[in-house]
Amino acid sequence: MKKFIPISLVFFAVVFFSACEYEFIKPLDPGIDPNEPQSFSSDILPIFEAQDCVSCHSSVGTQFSLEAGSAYQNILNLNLADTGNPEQSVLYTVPDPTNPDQHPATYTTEQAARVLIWIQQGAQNN
Amino acid sequence: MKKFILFILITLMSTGAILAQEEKKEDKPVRAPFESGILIDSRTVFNPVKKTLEFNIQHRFAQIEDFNNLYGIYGASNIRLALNYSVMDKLMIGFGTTKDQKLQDFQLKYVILEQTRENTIPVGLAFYGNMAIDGRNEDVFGLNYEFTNRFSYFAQLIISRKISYALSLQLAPSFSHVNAVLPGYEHDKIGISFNGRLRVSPQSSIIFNYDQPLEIEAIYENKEPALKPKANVALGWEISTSTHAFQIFISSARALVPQYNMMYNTNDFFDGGIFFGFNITRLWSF
Repeated sequence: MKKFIPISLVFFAVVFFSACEYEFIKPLDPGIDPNEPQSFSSDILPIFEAQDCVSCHSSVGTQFSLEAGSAYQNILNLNLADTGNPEQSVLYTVPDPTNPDQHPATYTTEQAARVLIWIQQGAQNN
Repeated sequence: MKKFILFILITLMSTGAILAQEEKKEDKPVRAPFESGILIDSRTVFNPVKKTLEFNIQHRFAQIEDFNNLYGIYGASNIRLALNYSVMDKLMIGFGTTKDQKLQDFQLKYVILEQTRENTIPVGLAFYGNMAIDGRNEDVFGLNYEFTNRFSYFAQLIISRKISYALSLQLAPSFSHVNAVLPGYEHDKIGISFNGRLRVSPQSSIIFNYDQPLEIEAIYENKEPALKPKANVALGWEISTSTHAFQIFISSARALVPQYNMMYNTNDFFDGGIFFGFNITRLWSF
């Protein structure tokens, strides 16, 4: 058993340092045409389901709801989609995968691009 | 002959006295400098005895806002569940899982020195290290993704001193490293933590924790880093029994894995960045 301590410490040190890297994240190309029309009902709402946003943002809790029936109205009322400054919109920035803040759910790069393009296209209830 | 008997008696007595003195000098470790291996957001020099399984529940509610979100309690919370096992009296290994960023962490604590009652060893000393794996979608790590991009590390030397029956303090320098960061961010951070407990009744203590990430320009990779993390300030109350410890507190950290606090904490305790939280520790001996 006494051998266990140095062996485990050496093992830990090896694991600790061997995989230590200094990488910088280069954001992915989302592969979406910015001119492709984005529909709220068929492109944006499914993202809230897919990322399980609705588990916290539901009509049951106190977070604003992103469920199908009330999502658009809440986005409008709380000004989450800022068409004047789309890149600063809360709906885009908070779950963006490149945001280091610790929001429980994050979009994929493609989903983030769809949300941004939808806001740039006027955040229509289409 | 009388002289001989007297000589033997004196020799035996003096030997006995010396032995008694030596018994007196045997210096045992101080009793329970801390009640749990976790103190709010930090680790302590306390290690459960060999063959003990420790279960930690760390819970952090959302940021305290107003009555509408019941001061954070109704908001999106963060939680970490961990199982630690004392392989030896001085060595603990463990695994934990955290909700935010789906972090999976492996940890190790080794007690290097235990403070003794007669001050032969005046301080306690322990090493704590972990490796965490970010479990989010690989899109987060961008182009040229490799599995090791998910790794982050934390190494800490914990120095403790039980000053009196009531007061125990710790000072802990640490090194944090994240393998993959966004451009402009730092990979490494040196920090220092100061924490302690003040016992106010046999089972209750006031506890506090302060984590300060240090801005050391000599190790900067960027001229001006994109983020200078804020200090974590926490204050709470601990209730403990021999197998349980329950801590309830307010803290300015949301992350439950220490390197993420040292690297990314943006909450200012004195500017409304406060969260309610609690820790529960349960011990089972085998």
